[in-house]
Amino acid sequence: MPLIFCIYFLKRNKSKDLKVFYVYTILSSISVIVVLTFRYIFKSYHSFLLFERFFIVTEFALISHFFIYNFIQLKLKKITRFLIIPLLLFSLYDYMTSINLDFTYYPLVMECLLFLLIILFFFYEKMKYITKFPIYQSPAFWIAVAFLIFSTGNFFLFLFTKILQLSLHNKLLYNDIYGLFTIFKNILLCTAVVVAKNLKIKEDLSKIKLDLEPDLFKPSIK
Amino acid sequence: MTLLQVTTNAPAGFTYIMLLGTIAMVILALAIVFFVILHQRRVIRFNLQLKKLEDEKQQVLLEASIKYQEEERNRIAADLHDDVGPLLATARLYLSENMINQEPAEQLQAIFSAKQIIDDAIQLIRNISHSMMPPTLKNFGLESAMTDLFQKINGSGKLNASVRFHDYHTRLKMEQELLIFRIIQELVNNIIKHSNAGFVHLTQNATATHSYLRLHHDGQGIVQEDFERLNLVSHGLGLKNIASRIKVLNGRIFFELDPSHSYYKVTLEIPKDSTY
Repeated sequence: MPLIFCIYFLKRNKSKDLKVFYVYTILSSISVIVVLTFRYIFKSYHSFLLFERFFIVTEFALISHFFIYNFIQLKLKKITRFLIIPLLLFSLYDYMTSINLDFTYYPLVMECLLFLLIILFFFYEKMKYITKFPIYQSPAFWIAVAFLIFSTGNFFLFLFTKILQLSLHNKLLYNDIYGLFTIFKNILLCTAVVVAKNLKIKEDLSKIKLDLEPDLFKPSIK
Repeated sequence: MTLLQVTTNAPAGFTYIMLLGTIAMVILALAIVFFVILHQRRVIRFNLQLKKLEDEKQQVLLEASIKYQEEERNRIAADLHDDVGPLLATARLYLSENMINQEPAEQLQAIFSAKQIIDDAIQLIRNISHSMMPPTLKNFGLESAMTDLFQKINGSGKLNASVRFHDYHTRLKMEQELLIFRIIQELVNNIIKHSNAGFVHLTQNATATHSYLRLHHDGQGIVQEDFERLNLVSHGLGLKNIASRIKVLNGRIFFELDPSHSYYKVTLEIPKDSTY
């Protein structure tokens, strides 16, 4: 769904951060196809789980890069840039140590925690620095909210995946919760793509200033 | 991982605990989001109020500036009408057609009187012109204009006035000098009218980026709070003109009482590369 919105609004949203987000939506769509292919056509559970680990790291790299473009403070940019390293190392460690290549719940939990950290950085910065426009007019806000809801909603789910897979009832519960928060996330991501235009129009208007310096009386457009 | 190993054999109520945890996490996340939105709305609203106040202040300054220009025009018109007009009319009377019928001595006397009157008119016009743009300022710069102004004040014998320019090797732009001159003129005028001071001293100094001018006087002065308050509430134009000129110069003005409580200081800070 976000990919369809991105393609539809491609012409008007050309900022660098949104381009990164577009790449993410393309990757997400491809990953769905790849996962289904591995799992149901080739029936290779091993390849499916390996690809899942690759997807987690790539997804985090892209979304963290999106937030790097939106941070003002250089310090936060640097910290966020280095957050990929612990996730990558942890994913590799988890891949090497897991028995029979378990489901990727530990890297997912790690990814959720790191997302929460980045989003808290993002909100902290938005509160610290005064902006001209309400925060909800920026696409970054909706993307942050999407990942915040998704990460908090699925955190316990990922943390206790192993237990939830033990019974059919819990498996269904897992699928319901995961599906619900994925739908929320996708709706919020689509909202992000839609609101991007409104902000752009207001920014253009803000460039028009009237020269009202006393003693000059020369109204002009800078 | 330890937690997972422990919870593998968790009781049946585990699912509900997990669901409650998830709901709590989501509520917490939403609370954070709403807090950020509300906080930002408050900040934006506060900034808008500040901007509104700033706009209102600008409006007052603009109106003061327009009013000042009108008063200046009226003053010039009054000077021309009341002083120069009657003088020229008198000169015309001396040089009327009846002069032909007069005795040569009377003719000579009339011509001499008319010449005197025309000289007075020329002097008056020069004075009006000088009050608009002091020639010393135009030709020799701010330092000479200030010295000239302070010498005139000193000459009146009412006030001991002195000037010291420490670092004015490069002249500011003509428009800047005129604005600074007008500010100092207004300040000195206020000191003479309201402060009952015994002395007034002007000092100039500069850094790489700014030029500073400081007036010291031992009379009854005002401090920064008074200046800001009077600027908003006072009906007079003097302080508003000072504020608007400072704004045009992109400079700052500070009114202070010296820690010794023996004299007041007014400091002007003007950026050297001020563009306006």
